[in-house]
Amino acid sequence: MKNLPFWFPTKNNVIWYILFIGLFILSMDFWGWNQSNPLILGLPLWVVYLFILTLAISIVFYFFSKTYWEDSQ
Amino acid sequence: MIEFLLIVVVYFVFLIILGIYAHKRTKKTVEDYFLANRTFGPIILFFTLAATNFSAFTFLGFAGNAYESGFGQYGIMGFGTAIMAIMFYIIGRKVWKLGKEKGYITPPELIGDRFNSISLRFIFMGVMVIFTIPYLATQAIGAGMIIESVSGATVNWQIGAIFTMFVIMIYVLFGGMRGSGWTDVIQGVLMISAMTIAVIFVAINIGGFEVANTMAYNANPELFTRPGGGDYFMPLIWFSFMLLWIFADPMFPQIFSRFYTAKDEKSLKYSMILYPIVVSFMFLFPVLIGVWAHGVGIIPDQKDMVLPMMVLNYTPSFIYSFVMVGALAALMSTADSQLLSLSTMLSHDLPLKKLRISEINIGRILILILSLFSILFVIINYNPSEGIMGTLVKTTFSGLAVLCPTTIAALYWKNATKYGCIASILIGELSIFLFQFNILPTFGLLSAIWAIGISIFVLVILSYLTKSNTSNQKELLE
Repeated sequence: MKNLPFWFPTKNNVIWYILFIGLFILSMDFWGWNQSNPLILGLPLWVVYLFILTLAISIVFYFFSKTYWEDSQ
Repeated sequence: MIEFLLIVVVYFVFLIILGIYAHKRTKKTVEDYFLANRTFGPIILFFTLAATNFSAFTFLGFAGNAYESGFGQYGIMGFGTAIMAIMFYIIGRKVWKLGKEKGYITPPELIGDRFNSISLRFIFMGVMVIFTIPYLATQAIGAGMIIESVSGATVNWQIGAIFTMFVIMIYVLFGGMRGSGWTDVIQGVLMISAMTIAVIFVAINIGGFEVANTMAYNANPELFTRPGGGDYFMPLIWFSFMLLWIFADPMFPQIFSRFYTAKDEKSLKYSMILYPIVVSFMFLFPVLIGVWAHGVGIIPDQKDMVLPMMVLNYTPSFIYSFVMVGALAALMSTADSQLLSLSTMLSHDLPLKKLRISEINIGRILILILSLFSILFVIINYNPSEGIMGTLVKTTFSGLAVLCPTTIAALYWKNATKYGCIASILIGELSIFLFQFNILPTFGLLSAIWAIGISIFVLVILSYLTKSNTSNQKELLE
């Protein structure tokens, strides 16, 4: 384990790697290209999707800071 | 116009008073003047990080770009900026900790000390300074544009820019980091409320939120889809922007320096959690207004003026004045932080200790010089046809993003060497210009993404090829 590069996921943080990389991949919504329908309050669905995804980052950050980010001694 | 000028005068006087009050509360130590003695709690730290990052182009540039290319502008700016806050943990937490333990004041100081290299320290500082000065000038340009617009071209934009820079200079000169942080809270609240009020009033006066969207959709449906107007949002450009902010934003010296000012890790945690919430709304509002302009037939002379024109036409005059002051607050909060961080680096990282002047006074002299320099830059170099965003993306963001691999290596990678870092920065910067001037092909990506990739590659290869001989690396990485 000592020889692993510094950025390599460990058992303790692999879930956060999955969540953050997963969120990043979800922002590449290439399936939504060339689409503007359906419209929600006049906004295309992909805009609403990105808005919710951006808010979801905050929720993930909250749990990250509560469960993984330990204060220094 | 009189309403606007009255609000501006009251607002400017308040900022100067706050700067003077901060001066009275600041001890005559370098750490207190430049870093507010590392005492910013969650509220001040969050607002100062947000207000510093949201600038003239958050108000004017976003709306202008959305007017041109559509809702995709929200995607490339909003999500990328929100997820960038993970860097408050990856970089911010370590920088804060090392700053507290070792007494670091500036970003180049940490990087230079980690590798025992004065050359690396100077190069890191040089890049930060060179790419921040044009960005500082754009804030003054934004102020000038706002003042000229509100005054109906009675006040020339250059005079507006000079006047605003003068006020910024005064309160930074007096208040240092404490003054900058306190005014950022006021400016942050002001810009968030101004943007919220603007979008609500414009929507109501067009006929409602849905009606505004529908009218714009009927006028130009291309703006509601991707690739959008001018086929701008191609998938590789989308990917590039999502990645760019993660590397670029924390490398702004004014953001990097703020990691030192946190009182504790709780302050950094709160800032990280709140950041995406504010971004999700604040970045959407100007984009909405820019797109809605199509529905109501507003045609601006310059795209960056679309927001002021919309607010002028669709809100009462006092709301218009308030919103424009909010836009001024956005750019002033960025400019004051840039001014302070630049003067801090130049006074602390350059060998000026032989001069018989205190470091704080050298910093103050530099604040004066930088203010004058940015005014000169404004007068000589401004090319309005490029738009604020165009100028920024072409120079500042790419240039600073190249510093990120070195910073992460300095904080985490024990095998990194000064040679690897120096080569990474120099070759990365050189590559930006090769891509920028089409000497190398970008294959649809932003040149910054190639430059980041090249700088990582060079750093890794050169670090493995050169021996690590820095004595304090282990200690810093523990």
